[in-house]
This record gives sequence, structure tokens and C-alpha cells, in this order.
Amino acid sequence: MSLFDSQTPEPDPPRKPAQKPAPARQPFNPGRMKQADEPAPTAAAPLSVSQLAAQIDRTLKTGLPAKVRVAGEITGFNDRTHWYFSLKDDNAVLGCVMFSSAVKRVAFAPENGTEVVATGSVSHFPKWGKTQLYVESLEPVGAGALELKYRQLVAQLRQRGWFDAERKRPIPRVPRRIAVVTSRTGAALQDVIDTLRRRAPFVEVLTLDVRVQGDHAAPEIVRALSFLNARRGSLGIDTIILTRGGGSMEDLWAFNEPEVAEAIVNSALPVVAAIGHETDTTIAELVADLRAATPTQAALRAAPDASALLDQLDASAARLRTALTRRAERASDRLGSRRAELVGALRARLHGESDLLHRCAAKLARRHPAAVYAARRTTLTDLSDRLARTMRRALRAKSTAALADRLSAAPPCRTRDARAHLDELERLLQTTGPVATLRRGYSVTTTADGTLLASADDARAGDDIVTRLADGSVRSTVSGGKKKRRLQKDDPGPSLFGPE
Amino acid sequence: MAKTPKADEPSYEDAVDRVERLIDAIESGEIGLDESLKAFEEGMGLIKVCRARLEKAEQRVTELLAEDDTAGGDPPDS
Repeated sequence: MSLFDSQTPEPDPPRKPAQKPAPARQPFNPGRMKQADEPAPTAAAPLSVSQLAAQIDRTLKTGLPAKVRVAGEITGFNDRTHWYFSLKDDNAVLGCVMFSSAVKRVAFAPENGTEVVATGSVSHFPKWGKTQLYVESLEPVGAGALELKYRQLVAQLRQRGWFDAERKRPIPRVPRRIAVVTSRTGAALQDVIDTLRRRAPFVEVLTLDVRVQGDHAAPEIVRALSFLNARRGSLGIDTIILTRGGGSMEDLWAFNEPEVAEAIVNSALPVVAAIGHETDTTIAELVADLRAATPTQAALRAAPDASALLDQLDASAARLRTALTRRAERASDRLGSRRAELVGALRARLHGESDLLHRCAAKLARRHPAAVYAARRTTLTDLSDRLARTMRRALRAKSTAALADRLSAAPPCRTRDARAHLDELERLLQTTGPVATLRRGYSVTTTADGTLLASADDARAGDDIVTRLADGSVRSTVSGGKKKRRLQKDDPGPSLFGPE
Repeated sequence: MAKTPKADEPSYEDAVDRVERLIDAIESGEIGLDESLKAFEEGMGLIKVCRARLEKAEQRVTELLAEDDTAGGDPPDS
């Protein structure tokens, strides 16, 4: 479309909805508007400056894409709330303004001379007669761009927690197999293999060849990690070493790619990463479970020193032996002291029993019949001796004569008293004795043979009886008898002097 | 392809831990003499196994091919 196209009454290419109109605002003037709608005047009627300016602006808006990207060098940089600068190349300069709202999103600090790519829209500002780029975003180019991208990725992944210490897994201390992901032609691989062979030849090494720079590197690394994880059981892998030698930031860039970082984060196998030189730190190393400065360091950290471990095993074996020996000795000592205790206890017990037996034997001996008999016999002998002696003494001491002497030596009054007593007794006897009774008229009758006749039954007619009287006796013959009644116990009996 | 280690073999660290605990058990005297003997034998056995693992003097290096799908892959969930 030509700049001076006057056939169309209004501009017809479709405008983007977000398109901003020119910042200049003129007071509403219907006269002017009408002018704008009219077909352009002929060469005879000139445009006003404002008209031309407006047309320039309109043409810019319709003639250029709503957003342009332009690369250039920053010059005349002026930062206040809004940024004012120019972009230039060898043959041209273009004024730029960036409003603070857009400036906020810029992640680097541009300076005069910084090569950038600016994105924005172009407008003509009639008031000032300036055509300007209204910049919406700004990016650095060249090495600066990678730096920025790196910083941005680091910030992003750090926020996701991919660098957190807690998510890092421990590296197996004594691995059986280590997989090394690296270029098969690089020095890094040889360093790792040599170090592992010197230090821990028992560790088996599996190598997986990948490109370590260029566009194809990142996908190959991702595929390698995924392959190793998928087959970790059947391959028996304990640890992965991801490594490459030194290079520029571009060379190492594959190890900053988010997809590689993600593959490392998702790896079930622990990853030891050593990329580039000691001073290089890539994102892969930040997300890895362990970062090593060099490939050799990676091998040293991933595998143990076999000879040191063997020494430790020897020490453990020695301690095991010592422990057992000491334990056996302790048991043996305990056994010995128990044995001594047992013997001691038995001995004491035996002594006790032996004493008891002796005491019992002694007691028994004392109670033996022979001993008892002997003891009693001795006693008896003693007693009989004593008796004999006593008797002899007694007999010697006490003869009849001596007795008679003693008797006559007794005081006479004693004899006299006895005589008097005797006389008295005689007198008593005479008055109450049978002679006195006979004198009183009683008689005693006996049969011819002298048997006393006490009952009428004992005398039969014709028997001879003798009756003794006080001064003699009378002989008679029984002519008859009569028994009176039987005598009862307390029957006083027939009266002596009454009728029969 | 190298032989896969048996899944039921204890890891080196687990074996060493077990030996330490066995030594402690014997030294403490808390277990009987019979058990101490058994612990000793178990410990020596484990040490022997560990030694065997470490004593291989020849390194084995094998190159893997990532696209080799016949390399005896694990079931998807392993």
C-alpha cells in the first residue's frame, strides 16, 4: 500500500485489538475530522503538519506488524522510572522507550554497548515528531543470553525444590556396579575407569556412550538415564556417574537443559555428576545427588577404597575372635568358681555329718546294755559294800549287852510308870473280863468236845454238855430244847428275865 | 552381560552392621555361650562374604547399548 494512497476513505487492514493509538490527543474538532475523511487534497492543497504526522503514524501502524523484534546495540541509555535509550547498528538509530511496567520484567542490566533484542511496537509521536519503538521486552544476545538463561533456570528450579538437600539420596558406600554416562571418546571416561580400577577393582563398570554437547546431547542423556533406571534391577546398577570434560558455556549447555535436570531428579538411581572444570557448575550438578569437581573426584566419591575396607574386615574378624575368647574365658572362670563353691559346700556338709555321727556313736556307746549293766553292777557293788560295811559297823556297835546296859541305864521312873500302868490295866481287865461276868451269873456252855454252844440248834436231846460257872463247871444231859424265833439283825433277842 | 548379584544377598553395609551387632552381643555377655558361638560363626561367615566381594582384583568394564531392548529388561514397574 502506498504512503499517499487516497482512494480509500479509511484504513482497511485489520488492526490487532490490543493496539494502542498514538499517545497524542487533540481536542475534539469536527472540522479537523472532516478533513481527515476527505480524499487527500491535490498537490495544489498541502497537508498540515498534524495531518501528515497523523498519517505517518497510521501508516506505521498498518504497514508494520503490531509487534516487531529488532536487534541492536544500546546507546544513550537513560533509566529513570521509564527507560529511554536508542538502538543502533552501523547505519541507523532508532529511539526506544520502555515503560516501568515492562522494565520490571527485565532480568538483566542493560548498558550502553549491550547487544539486545527488543520486542515492541513502532509509533510516530506527532507532538515531538519522533518515531519510537515502544519496547515491551528486552533480551540480551550472545554469551550474556546464556548467562541470563542459566540464572533464570537456576531460580526456577530452585523454587521447585529440585536443589533441596533433603531430596538428595545417599550414594551407596560399597556399590557392586557403577554405570558411567559420558562420551566414549572423552578423557573423562578413562579418568573414571582408571580411578575405579586403582581404588576398587571389584566394582564392575558399565559405560553408556552419549554425546555431551550440541543439540542432540540433552535428549541422548535423558534417554540414557531413563534406560538405566528402567533396567536397574536386571543390570544390578547401584550408582550412575554423569560426566564430561571442560568446555565453554555453550559446550556445556546440554547439562543446563531442564529436561536433563528433570531426568536426574526422576532417576531412582543416585547420580554423581561432574561436568566441566572445577569452576563450572551446571544445573545437572546442582540437581544431582552428589556433585564432584572432576571425573576423577566422581569416581573417588562413588567407590570406596577396597584395601581400607579389607583392613576394616580384618579388624572386625580380630575383634570377633577376641570377643569370643573373652566370653569363653569368662564362662570358664565362672565354672571354676562354681566348682570350688560346690566342693567347699560339700566338704562343710560332710564335716557336719561326720561330727553328728561321732556324737551319735558316743551317745549310743553310752547306752549299750553292757555298759549300762557294768555301770549298774558297779553301783550295786558299791551299795552292797557300803551295806556290808554299815552292817558290820552296826553289829559291832550294837551288841545285846550293850542294849541291856542301855536299857538298865535308862531312868527308873520310866519303869515305875510302866508298872503302875500295868496294874491299872489288870484291874480294868478283872472288872470287865470274863471272870467278873461269870461271877455275875453268866455261864458258858460247851459240848463234850469243847465246842462252844451258842445256838439251840447245836444241842440235841441226849447230848452231854458242860457248863462252866464262875467257880467250877456242871455236867448235864440235854433233855430237850426249844428254839425261839430267829434273831433278826436288830432284834434285841428274847428277854433274859422274862417269860419264854 | 555380567551376572546380576542375587537379590537376597545382604548389602555390604548391612552385613558390616550385622557383624558389629554380633560383636556387641558377644562382648556384652548377655547371650549364652552357645549363642555366642553361633554369633561368632555367623559373624565370620559374613566377613568371609564381604571379603570375597572386595577381593576381586580384575576390573570388569562393559559397554551398554541404550537401544538394546533384548538386554533382559525389567518389568515396567521395577
